[in-house]
Amino acid sequence: MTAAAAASGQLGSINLGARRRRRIAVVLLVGPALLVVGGALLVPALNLLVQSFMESSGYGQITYHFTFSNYTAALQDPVYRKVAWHSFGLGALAALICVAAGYPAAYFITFRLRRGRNLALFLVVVSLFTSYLVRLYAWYTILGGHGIVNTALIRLGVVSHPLLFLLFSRTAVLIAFVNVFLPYSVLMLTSSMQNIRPDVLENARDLGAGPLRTFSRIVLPLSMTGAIGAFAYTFILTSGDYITPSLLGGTSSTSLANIVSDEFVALGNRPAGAAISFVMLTVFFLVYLGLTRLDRFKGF
Amino acid sequence: MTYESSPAMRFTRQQLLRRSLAGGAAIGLAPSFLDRLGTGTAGAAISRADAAAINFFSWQGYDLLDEPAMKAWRKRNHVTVHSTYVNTHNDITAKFTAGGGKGIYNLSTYEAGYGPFYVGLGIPAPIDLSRVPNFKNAHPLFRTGAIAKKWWNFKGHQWALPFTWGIQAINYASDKIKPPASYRDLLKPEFKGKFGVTDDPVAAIVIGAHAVGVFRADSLYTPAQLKKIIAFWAALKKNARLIVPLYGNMADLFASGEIVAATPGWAAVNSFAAAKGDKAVKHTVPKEGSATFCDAFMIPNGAKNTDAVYAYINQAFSLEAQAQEAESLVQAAVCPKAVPLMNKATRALYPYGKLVEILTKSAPLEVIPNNVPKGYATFADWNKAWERFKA
Repeated sequence: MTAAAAASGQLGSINLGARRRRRIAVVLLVGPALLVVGGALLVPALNLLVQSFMESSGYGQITYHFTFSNYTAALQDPVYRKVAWHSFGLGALAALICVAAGYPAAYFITFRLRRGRNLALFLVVVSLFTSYLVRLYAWYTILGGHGIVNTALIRLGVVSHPLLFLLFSRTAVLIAFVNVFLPYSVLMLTSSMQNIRPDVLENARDLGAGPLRTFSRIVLPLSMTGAIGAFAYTFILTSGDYITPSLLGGTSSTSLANIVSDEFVALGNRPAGAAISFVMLTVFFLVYLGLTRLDRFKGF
Repeated sequence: MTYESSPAMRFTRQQLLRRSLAGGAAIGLAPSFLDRLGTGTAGAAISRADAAAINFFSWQGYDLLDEPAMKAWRKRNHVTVHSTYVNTHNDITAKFTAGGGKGIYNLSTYEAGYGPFYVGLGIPAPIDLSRVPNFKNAHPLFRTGAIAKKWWNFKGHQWALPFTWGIQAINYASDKIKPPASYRDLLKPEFKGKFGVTDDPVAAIVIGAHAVGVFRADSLYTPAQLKKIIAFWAALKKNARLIVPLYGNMADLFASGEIVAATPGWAAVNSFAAAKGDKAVKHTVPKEGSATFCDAFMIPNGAKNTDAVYAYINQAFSLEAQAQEAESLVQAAVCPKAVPLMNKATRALYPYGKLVEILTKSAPLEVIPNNVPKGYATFADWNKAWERFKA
């Protein structure tokens, strides 16, 4: 009995030691990421949140008087509202196109390709190897007045003058967004579709479901998480994009990110810039929360 | 298997939440970090810094990297220059007030009109003139007298050393159009969709004031006058192809044939475009007038390695360097004795014989309206109006 108790105690102390080691390992593994997120994101975010409720008293100067006026201005200013509609609208449209266009590609890669699947995924990833800025400038040579598209259209006799709206317009910004973010959508959708067993699709077909019904009742619901991810990722990054509207947006190039930048850099009004940033963040959260409800989607 | 019980879906959902949180927060907060992060080369500059390193933060070309006189001097003295370029002058203000520039960059510049504003913000450190003996080569207008005391030497200190000046009006493609005689020419139907409006609020408001006939050398405009100036730019914007975000980008637009003109212009774009293969880009001043600037070297407060910086600035005021930078920047030198060293074309760009008349009367330097009497638009009003114009 005594020996058993001693053995039990020894076992307990071994378990305790193992648990402690596991805890240390967890802290060591998770700690660096927590430090980075906490130090580089949460602390500055909190600092900015506090500043958003303060008053600006000249370039780069802040008076520590609590006020809601920055939020009131951010929400009520008609210019900001117009720019916000354009930014979020363009972001939503880009996200929708990326998800819609990503589905066929992801479906083909997942269910139709056997040997070439890895090569196809590699080709999707390769498109991300070029720098973002280089890809934006590449649109000058494709959509510009003397670009490939206009030259081809003129030579084919489709138009007599270059179509100037192709570049330096919201259309150009949308095209660039889709070009940049479509590969991410394909990757996310492919990732979620890989969990769908092919025999489920065969069963559906055996039971008489056509391709459309199979897609809407099986593929779509089972890959909805990927679609939500792709939409949210594209929407957030495009709505907050700064450089694409600046380089390709023409005379309608101002985005919310440009307004935020102007508040910080040109006007030195950090509280106003912070307030607009947090309004954007709130919109992103609301959109994300709305999207998560689609997770329960069971098909049409 | 239910959807909720799929391990893959649980994983993706959690991953999505984390990504969305991090991504959303990053996007929302990114602007606050812009002024801290710079344009990408600062980090590299710091890590490579050595005892004779100059970390430069200002306009492209102002680091004088390509001028043979400066190149040879750097090689001889083992000085390296790590440059980060600005898109607008406001980048300099933001960098040195938000804490992202102090102690990192040891050489920058400011345009004359920003002088009192920057000194008020504590950006420049006083300059020890005894360590820049070559500054005596500069024209007296830049060293002593009313203009010098207004912008670079006040409150008992020398805050900056003017090294180049120039004018801003219209850049145009000389192989495609004749130089516009008036800013209002750009409102004509033949220019529809063929020119750019540059995102440079200070130059734009000065030029706009000329164009609508309300220009004042002291930049004191009433809100009504500012509205009139912005209305002029709004009319131009309707006829324009795009808002040009950067002067460097303007060169690309000329080189790719997307635009035939741009205003506010900058003569340095001529050389940027030439480097990209388009030697037809020229700069012209329409009948209404131009914006005039003068940029000066400043040593920011908290700068390190100032020995190398002082030596570098001193060399930049050598006659050879002055002549070469006038040619490469397509701007005017401040040292009269450098003029004979320039080639004929560069010498002809600016009427050096009328320097005092130009900078004091016909095209006075831009003034930033920071402390203005009641009833006049402030610099913040200018920037706000421009922000709204762009939107």
